[in-house]
Amino acid sequence: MEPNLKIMRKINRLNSSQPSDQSGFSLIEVMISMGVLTVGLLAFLSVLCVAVSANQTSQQDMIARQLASETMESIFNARNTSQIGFSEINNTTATPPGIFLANSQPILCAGADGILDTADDASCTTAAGAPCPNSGVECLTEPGPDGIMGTADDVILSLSNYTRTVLITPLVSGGSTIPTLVQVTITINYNAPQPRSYVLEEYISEYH
Amino acid sequence: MQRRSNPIRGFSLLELMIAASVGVFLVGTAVKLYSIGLTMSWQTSQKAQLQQDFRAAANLLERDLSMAGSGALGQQGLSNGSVGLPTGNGSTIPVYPCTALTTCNYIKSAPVAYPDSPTGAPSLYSIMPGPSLGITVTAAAGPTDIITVNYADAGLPLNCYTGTVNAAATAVTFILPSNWSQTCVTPPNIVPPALPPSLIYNSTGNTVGLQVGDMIMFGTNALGVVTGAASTCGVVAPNLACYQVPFATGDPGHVNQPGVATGSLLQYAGAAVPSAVRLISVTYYLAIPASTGLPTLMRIQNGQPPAPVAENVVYLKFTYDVINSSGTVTANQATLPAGTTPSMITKINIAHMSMRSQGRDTSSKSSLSGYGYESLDLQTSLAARSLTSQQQYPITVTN
Repeated sequence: MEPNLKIMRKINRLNSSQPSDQSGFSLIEVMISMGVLTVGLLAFLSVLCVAVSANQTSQQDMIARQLASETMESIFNARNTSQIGFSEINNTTATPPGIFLANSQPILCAGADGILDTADDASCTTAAGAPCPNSGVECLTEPGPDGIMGTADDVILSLSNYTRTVLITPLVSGGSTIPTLVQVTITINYNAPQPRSYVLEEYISEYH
Repeated sequence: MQRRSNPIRGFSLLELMIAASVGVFLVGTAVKLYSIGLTMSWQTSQKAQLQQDFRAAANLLERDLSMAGSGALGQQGLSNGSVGLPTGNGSTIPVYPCTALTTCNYIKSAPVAYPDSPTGAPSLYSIMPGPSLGITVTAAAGPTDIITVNYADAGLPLNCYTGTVNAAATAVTFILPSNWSQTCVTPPNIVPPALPPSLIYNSTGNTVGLQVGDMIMFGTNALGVVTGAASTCGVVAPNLACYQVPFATGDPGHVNQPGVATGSLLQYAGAAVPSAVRLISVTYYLAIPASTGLPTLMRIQNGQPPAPVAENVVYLKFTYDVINSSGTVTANQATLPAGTTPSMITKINIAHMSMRSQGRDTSSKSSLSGYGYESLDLQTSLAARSLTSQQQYPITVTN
């Protein structure tokens, strides 16, 4: 019996000397740690969201840039082909009036004249030939999640959240207007989802 | 009994249940977040990759198309109308796009005939539309388009040389006269080199200049395809250099037809050509190479083998704005209206260039939803600036 009692005493001593080491987490501790973990996870999620939205924005930036350069091309082209006179390269609100609509306009396709942002701008169609949604505002036809064009899941991406403003202003030198040169400013406004804009500014002369 | 009240005791059932449920909730949330994160990072990387490919392809395409018809170093270029190809008695219909001396079977494994001028003669134009001539990637979307642009190569000083066609119209001798016009290499007021660059070798002995398969435009009436290596020939004083270049019959595109009187080099047989300029001819089309099985935007230039520009381009369509002889513009034409020719094109509209990402087929990985393809579509317009700034509008030419 003697040796056994000795061992028991030893165990008792050990137990009484380290009681707190053997206890589990309290509920409060778990709750706090859960809160910390949640904050961490939310931070991770917000980083993801930022990355995804930046990616989305860059795609919209690309579209805006393309829209602006397309509009500028059509103005230069009309001048080069003598399709329109130089005096017509002006806003409809100017005196004398030109052919380019003033203020922000929806992104419609060029009408019969092939020039964008004029009164005869027409509705756009999808790749399949159907009218674009949102009153014919230009729409992109993407192959969709299956990656195949012409299937039911094709994505019709309407450019209804873009607007185009063509501003044509005379250039003044030494107090007098230069008769053979104007400044063309094309502004594409869009929401990505915060409002953004792309501005393309060029000079266009009567001669080429 | 005292020992039983010692601090060694387990969790109560209640504690265990709470802890377990909190744990399960946490782990579940973490797994869900991880899964969302995985999908998002997949989509993000696919999108980024797609945008990068897309931008590169669009830039290259736009840059090539906007060069259409540009002349070089004061040459006439192609701006004015078109260049006739062999036609009439005994002729074979010329075709494009071809690889040097091998084949022209690239568009749907078949050659494409050059467009006809209003008089019915096959002709080379600055912009050669190919509506619905390309492959069909999906039946529902229909056939894709091809497009070819031609412009003068400013890099090869062929215009410094005087060209003489042999009697059989199968070779041209290019001679550099001692009084060569130095403005054929450099603009005025810039010190020109002692000699223009060689038509065969550069200073390090590498082959440059004329290559087999290159298309040369002579004057504005004839074309020839180089069919062999250029060789030097005996220089007769006071000339400075002499090269003989073969334009023998038998090129796969049937451009060299010395036996045909109309539209061939025969019209200059035994005589000097008014001018010579190398053309850069670029064709864009879709193909599905067997090695990848993916629809790919291909670019073929000047008899060189076709090169892939971007994979996963699933649709390609163009429309054109044309101006007729009375100055009326007809916009957005998929095929040129009656009474107009490709030389009347004033604007090229890229109606669709649809690309998808590398992606992962949704059907093969149904448990991971959202793993499909990311996609983009390019729609833009390009002024045919090299034509519009040189041609007189309204167009009165008939070829």
